[in-house]
Amino acid sequence: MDDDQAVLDALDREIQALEDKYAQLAAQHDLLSQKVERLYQELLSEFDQRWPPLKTVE
Amino acid sequence: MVQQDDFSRLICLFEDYVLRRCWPEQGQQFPTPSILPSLVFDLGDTTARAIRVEPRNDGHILAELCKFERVYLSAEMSSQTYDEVAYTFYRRGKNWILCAPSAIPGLRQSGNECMEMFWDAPLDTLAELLWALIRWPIKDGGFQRLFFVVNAHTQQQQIQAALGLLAQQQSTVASLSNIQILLCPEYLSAFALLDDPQRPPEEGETCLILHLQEQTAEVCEWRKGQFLCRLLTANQDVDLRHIHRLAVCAETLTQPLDGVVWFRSQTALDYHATAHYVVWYPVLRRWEIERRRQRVQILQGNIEKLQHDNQELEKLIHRATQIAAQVKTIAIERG
Repeated sequence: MDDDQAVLDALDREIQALEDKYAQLAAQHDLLSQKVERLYQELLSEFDQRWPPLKTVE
Repeated sequence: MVQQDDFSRLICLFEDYVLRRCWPEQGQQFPTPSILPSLVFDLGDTTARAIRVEPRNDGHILAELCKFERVYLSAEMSSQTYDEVAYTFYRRGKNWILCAPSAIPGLRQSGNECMEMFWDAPLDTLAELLWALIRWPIKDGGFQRLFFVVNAHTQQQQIQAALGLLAQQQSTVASLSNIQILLCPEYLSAFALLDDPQRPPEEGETCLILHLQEQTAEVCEWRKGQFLCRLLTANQDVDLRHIHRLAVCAETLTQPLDGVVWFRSQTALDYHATAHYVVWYPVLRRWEIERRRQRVQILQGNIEKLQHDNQELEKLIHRATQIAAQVKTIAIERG
């Protein structure tokens, strides 16, 4: 194997590792986004329950 | 070393790609840059004599030197005090290209030393060196433009200053005004792997790049200092008469390409590609390496951004949890 091929192989491995890491982070990102959304909805629900919106007096 | 005639004198220059002080006279102590020529001209004031040298495996600049009308790897010095082999002239059509040695990957350590000498020279010496390098093409009647390709802005300034001095000293002001100093952009440095690394593309020049493994092809046109590339889609034809250079990126040439020009043999390629082409695996390997490095950089950038975004999300979750707890506390306190 010549030097160039060795470099190419090493870069391929690095790319694979980075792609794996990216996929892992992307999955984590999805989970965190879902959690943020859920917390937001829970918080809204909590507010609505404790302090219901004022009704308009006619 | 016996120098019986010009032929043997020139051949002796390139044994092991090392200039063995054949030029100037043997015995004088000059730098001995390693060079990788395939075609060499012995330059005099009015004549030039060509020698073709067989390429070898490690020839980084041997790809397609024969496509140029002439290649000069040396020019005689008026003062005979410097080696000039560190510079290369290319002539393509009516244009001349003069390349700085730092752009020649094949130069070994001694060549680098020679280059440093050049750039470290005082202005008047630099002008003298420059004049020795450019006088021959300038005297040629077909000379229209001469490109001086440098890698750094400081080199560009040095050449400009030396040219200014030359304009005062020589009676060739009009010719000197045809010299263009090109600062080799990074992008060009990478892309030039497609072809001879020293030759910058000319305005409007088109490259066809075949990526055999990806089974894609790109047509890239050099416009105003950058390549404008378009990916060819299936069944599109390419008129080779409009292609100046061809690059094939692949480890092997065994898979047919769908919808793009396909050369089944080197002979077919030679026949059809009337302009210049490169099928040169060492170069293409480096091109592939460059592409992968770019991919690594992009991935690293994306990962960094994602990590930052995730950190922000975690902060947001933490804050939202705190607020939720506070809301509950307030609600309990108020019954």
